[in-house]
Amino acid sequence: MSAARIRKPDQFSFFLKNYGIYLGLAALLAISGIISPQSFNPTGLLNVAKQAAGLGIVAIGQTLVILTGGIDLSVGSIVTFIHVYSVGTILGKPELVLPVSLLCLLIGLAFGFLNGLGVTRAQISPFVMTLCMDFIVRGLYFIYTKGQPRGVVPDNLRFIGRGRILSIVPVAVLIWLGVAFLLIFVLYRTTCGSRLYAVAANPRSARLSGVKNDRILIVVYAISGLLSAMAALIITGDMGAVSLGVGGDYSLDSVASTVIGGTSFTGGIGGVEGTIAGAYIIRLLTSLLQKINISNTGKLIIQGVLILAIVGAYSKKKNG
Amino acid sequence: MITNHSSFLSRLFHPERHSSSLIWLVLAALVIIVVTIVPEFVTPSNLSNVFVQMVPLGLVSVGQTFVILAGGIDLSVGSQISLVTLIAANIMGDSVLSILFSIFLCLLAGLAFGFLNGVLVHKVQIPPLIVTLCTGFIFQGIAYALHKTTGGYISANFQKVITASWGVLSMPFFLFIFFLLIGFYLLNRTRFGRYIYALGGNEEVLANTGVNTGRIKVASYVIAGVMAAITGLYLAARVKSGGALYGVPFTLNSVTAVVVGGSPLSGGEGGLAGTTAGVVIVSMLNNVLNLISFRFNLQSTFYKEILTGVILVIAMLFYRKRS
Amino acid sequence: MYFEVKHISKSFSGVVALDDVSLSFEKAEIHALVGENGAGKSTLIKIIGGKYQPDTGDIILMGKKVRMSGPHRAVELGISIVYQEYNLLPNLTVVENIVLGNEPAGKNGRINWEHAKTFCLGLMERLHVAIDLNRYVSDLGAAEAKIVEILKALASRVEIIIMDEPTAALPEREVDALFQLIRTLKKSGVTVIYISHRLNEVFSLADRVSVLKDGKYIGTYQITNITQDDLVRWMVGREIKDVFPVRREVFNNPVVLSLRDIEDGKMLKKVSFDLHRGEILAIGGMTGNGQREMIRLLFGASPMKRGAIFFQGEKVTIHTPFDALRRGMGFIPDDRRNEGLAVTQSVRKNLALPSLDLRQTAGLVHEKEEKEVVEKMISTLDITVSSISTAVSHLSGGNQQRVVIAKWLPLHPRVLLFHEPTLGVDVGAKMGLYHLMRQFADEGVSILMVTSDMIELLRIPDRILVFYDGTVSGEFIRSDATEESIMAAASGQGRKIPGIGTMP
Repeated sequence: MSAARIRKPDQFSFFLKNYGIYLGLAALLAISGIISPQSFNPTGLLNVAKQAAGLGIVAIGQTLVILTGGIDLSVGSIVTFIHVYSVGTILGKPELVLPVSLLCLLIGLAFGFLNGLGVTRAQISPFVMTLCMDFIVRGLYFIYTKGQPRGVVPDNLRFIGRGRILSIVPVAVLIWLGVAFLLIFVLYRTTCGSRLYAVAANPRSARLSGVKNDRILIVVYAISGLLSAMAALIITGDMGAVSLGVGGDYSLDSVASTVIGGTSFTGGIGGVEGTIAGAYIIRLLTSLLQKINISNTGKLIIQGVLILAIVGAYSKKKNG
Repeated sequence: MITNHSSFLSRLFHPERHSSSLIWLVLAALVIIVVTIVPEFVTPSNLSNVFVQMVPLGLVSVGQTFVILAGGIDLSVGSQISLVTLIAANIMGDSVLSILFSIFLCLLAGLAFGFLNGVLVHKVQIPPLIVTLCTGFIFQGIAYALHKTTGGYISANFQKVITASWGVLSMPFFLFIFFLLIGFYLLNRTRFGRYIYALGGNEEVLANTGVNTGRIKVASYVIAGVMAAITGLYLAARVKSGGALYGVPFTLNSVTAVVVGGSPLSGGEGGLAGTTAGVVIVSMLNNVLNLISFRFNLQSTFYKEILTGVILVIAMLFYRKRS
Repeated sequence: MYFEVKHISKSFSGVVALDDVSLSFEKAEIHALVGENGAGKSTLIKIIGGKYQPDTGDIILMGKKVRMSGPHRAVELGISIVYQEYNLLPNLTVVENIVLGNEPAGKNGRINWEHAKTFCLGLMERLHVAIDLNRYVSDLGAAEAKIVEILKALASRVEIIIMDEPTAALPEREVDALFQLIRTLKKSGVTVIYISHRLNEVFSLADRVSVLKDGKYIGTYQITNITQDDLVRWMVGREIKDVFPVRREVFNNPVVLSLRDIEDGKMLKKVSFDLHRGEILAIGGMTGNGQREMIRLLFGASPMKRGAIFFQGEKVTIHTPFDALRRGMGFIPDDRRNEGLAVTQSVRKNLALPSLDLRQTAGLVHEKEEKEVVEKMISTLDITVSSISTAVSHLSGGNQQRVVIAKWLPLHPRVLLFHEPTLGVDVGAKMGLYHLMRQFADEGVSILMVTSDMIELLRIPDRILVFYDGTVSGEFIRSDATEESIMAAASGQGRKIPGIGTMP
C-alpha cells in the first residue's frame, strides 16, 4: 500500500492565500496615506467605512451567491429600484419610513426569489437569469420614475445612512457589521450554513447526501435580493437625495469585493469575513481615484484587471 | 433531439446544420400578429427604419454566434463597439488614406480585444463569462477615457459610403449580407467551422483527434472582436460620432438574438441561419414597441429593457424543454 | 525495438495507478494487454495517448525518446486510440465525426465532403459495416457508435493503434469483422495494442500478451507458449476462492427492500427482486445493462417511471436522495470524487453532512457533539487521518471510501447501496472494505452492491443477480455461481462468452 504523499503548500503561498487580503488592505492604506495625508486619520478612515457600508451589505449577498458557483448581476438594478421606489413612496413623510422600508425589503426578497427560481427550477444559468432580471428591474424603475425620480428623504431615514452613535461611529457601519457577523454565524454554526458550503463545494455530492440543493440556492438568491434592498435604504439615507444613477456600479463592485475578499467561483472556498475587507478596499480605491481624478475610467479598469488577476491566479494554482 | 423533428422548412433554411426550424415559424407568426395589431409596421419608411436598426445587431451577432457555438460567450462586445466608435472618431481625418488607416486600426483593435479574451479564456482558464465581463469593464473604462464631449470627428465621406443607398438596396444591407455569407461559408464549408461545432460539442473529443483546440477557441473570440469593430465602425459612421455608451445595448441583444435563434449557450448546436431569424425578431419587437409606445405616448426605452430580459428568459425556457 | 514505454509511474491523489511499468512492442504485431479492473491498463494508454503525463518514465518510438505533450503529439506520431469511454460528438454527423481532424481539403479552404464520404465508405467496406454517413451520432445505438469510433481512429495516418475494450458493445458479427480488420492492419505494418477482458479473444487474435496487475508489470509472453489458466493466474495472482462463507440463513430473514416491475422508461425493464435483512446482494453483468440506473434509482438519484418499491413492507416513493435517506438508506457512489465527497472540504464537514439534523436545535449545530460523532466514526472505521479538519483530497483512495461509508453510519441505515465499492482503491485496502461490509451485514444492515469486478462478485456477496438488457437475467446463490454461468447470464440467452477476471 502506498502512503499518500501530501504536498504541503509552502508557507508563503499559505500566508498569501489566508491573509493576502489584509496585506492588500495594508498596502492600499499606506498608498492612501501618501496620496492624501490629510484624510489619513481615524475620522477619514471611518468615513470610508461609512461609504463602504452599502456596498458591504450588497457584497455579503453576492458572496453567498458566488460561493455556490453563481453570480448575481441584478443587484445594481435592485439597489436603484428600491432607492427610487422608497423615496418616491415615502415622499418625505417620516411615519412612512418603517412600513415602506419593510415593503422594500420584501420586494428585494421577491426579486431574489425569482432569480433563485429561474436558476433552480427553470435551470437557467445564473448569469443569464440575473442579467435578465437586471434588465427587467431597470425597465421597471424607468417606468416607475418616467425617467425623473422624485421625492424627499425624511430625517429618520437619513439617520440610518448618515447618523452616528456618540457622534463617532456611523450607524450604517454598525448595520453592515451586524449583518456580516450574523451571516458569518449562520454560515459557520448552523445546519443551513453547513449545507450551503456542502452545495458550494460539490453540488452533486451534496444532493446525494440528502441536501435539497434547490432550496439552498433559492434562499441564497433571495438573501442577495433582500440585502440589496437593505443596502439601498442605507445608501438612500446617506445620499439624502434621489438619482437614477445610484446603483449602476453595485453589480461589478460587489463581485469585485467578493473576489478580492478571497471567495472563489468554485469549490466552496471563501466567505463573508474576507468580503468585509474586500468592500472596504473597493471604496478606499474609489476615493483614492477620485482624488487623482480618474475615478470613472480608472475604477472600471482597475477592478476588471483585479478580478481577472485574482480569478486567474486561483485557476492557475488549481490546475498547476 | 431536434433533428428528429426536422421538417421541410428546416431543410430549406438549414441545408446542413440542425438548428431549430421552429424559429422561422415563430417569426412568421410574429409578423402576422404584428401586421394585424400594428399596421403602421409595414409602411416602407418604417420597414427601412427596422432594417437600419437591424444591421448593427446583425453584424455583432454574427460574431457572437461563433463564440456561443464554440461553447463560450462574449459579454464584452458592447464595450468593444463603444471603444471602436471612439477610436474611429479620435483618429479619422478626411483623406482617403486617413479613413482607410482608421478602418484598419479599428479592425486591428477588435482583433486585439478578441485575442485578449480568447487567451484569457484558453490559457489562464478563467470562465468566459468572467473574462468577458471583466474585459468588458476594462474596455468601457478606456472608452470613458477617450470620450470627448464633442464625440470626435467622423469624415462625412466615410458616412456617405457606409450609409449609401440605392432605392431598396443600401450599403448597410450589403455589409450585413456580405459578412453573413462569409460567416456562413466559414461555419458550414470549412474545417474551421467544423471545429467550432466540435469545440462546443465536446472539447476533449476534439483534442483527442489532435486538433489544437486553443487556437479554435481564441479564433472564435477574435471573430467576435472583429465583428464588434465592424459594428462600431458602422455605428460611428451612421451617428457621425463616437460615444462611450453607443455599444451598451448590443451585448445582451446579441446574446438574445443568438439564443432566440436556436443556438443554446451550451454550444455545438444552431447556426447563423437561426441567428438571422433571431436578429430579425429582436429588431422587429423593439421597433413594434416603439410604434406602440408612440401610439400610447409612452417612453419606449423603458420597456425595451424589460422586453429584452423577458424574451431571453422565455427563449432559455423554451430551448431547455426541447433538449 | 519499435515502441517502448520505460519505467512509467503515475499516481492520482495518493493512489498509485502505475508503478515502474516497462513494456515494448514490435512493429506489425498484435499485442494484447490484460489485467484486472484497476490494474492500470487505462492509465497506461492515456499516458501513451498524451492525455496524462507520467510522474516518471519515458516513451520511446523507434529508438527516440518522445515527449507526449498532449493528444495532438500522439496523433502526429501516428498513434491512434479507441477509448473505452464515449469519444464522439453527438451534435455532428457520422461522416463529420470520422474525418474530424483529417477533413480532406477542397477548393478555397472548403472541405471536400464527396471525398470524405468516399473515404468513409471505403473504410466501412474494409470493416464490413454500413452506417448512414449523414445520420447524427446522437441517434446511433451503442454498437454503431463504437464502430464509428473505430472508423474515426483509422481515419488518420496510423502506425500504432490502441483499442481499449473495443468489443464490449459489439454484436458478434461485427466482432468478427473487427478481427479481420485488425489482422489486415497488422499485415499493412500497423502495431495493434489490444486491451480486453475476454481471454478467448486474446488467444485467437494476439501474437504476444502482457500482464499488468495492481499497477505493476508482471510479464510479456508469446501467446503460443501459454494457456488461459496461466494468464488467469498471473492476472489475479491468487486463486479465486471464497473470502467469506455464504450465509444461507440470511435468506430466511425478513425482506427489507422489495422491488416490483421497476422501469425507468429508458434502460430498466420490469426489474423485480427482494433484499433480506443482513444480506449482501450483488448485481453483476456487463457494464451498461442497467445496473447503474438500478442502484441510482433506488437512492432517488435517477427517476422511476413505473413499478413499486416496498421498504419494510410499506410502499414508498423515492423521488430524491432525501427521500431515500429519510427511509434509512445510504449510498456509496462509484464516482467518489465527483459524487461521494466534496474533496475541498474537511473530513469533518463531509462526515457530518447527511446526519446534520440529528445534532441541532433550531438550526444551530451542536458543535461538540458533532466533533465527538466524527471522531467516533473515524476510529470505528479505522480512517487514517491526521486531523478531522484535514481536507478529504489529502486522503488515500481507501480512506476516502471509508469517509463516504462513514457519513451514513450516524443515521443507523437499514440499507447500504454500494456502487463499485472498491473502485480506485489500493489492493491492500480492498480486503479491509470487504470485512467492513461483512461486519455491517452481520449487524443486520442489508447491503446491495453493483460491481463490474468478477472477482469481487464471486467472493463477497451471499446472492448474485445478473443484469442483461435492463433486467434480471440470472440469479445465483454465490456458492452455486461460476464464472461461466454468470457470463452466460450476462450476455443474454444463447451467446456464451467464456471470459475471465473482470467483465467489461
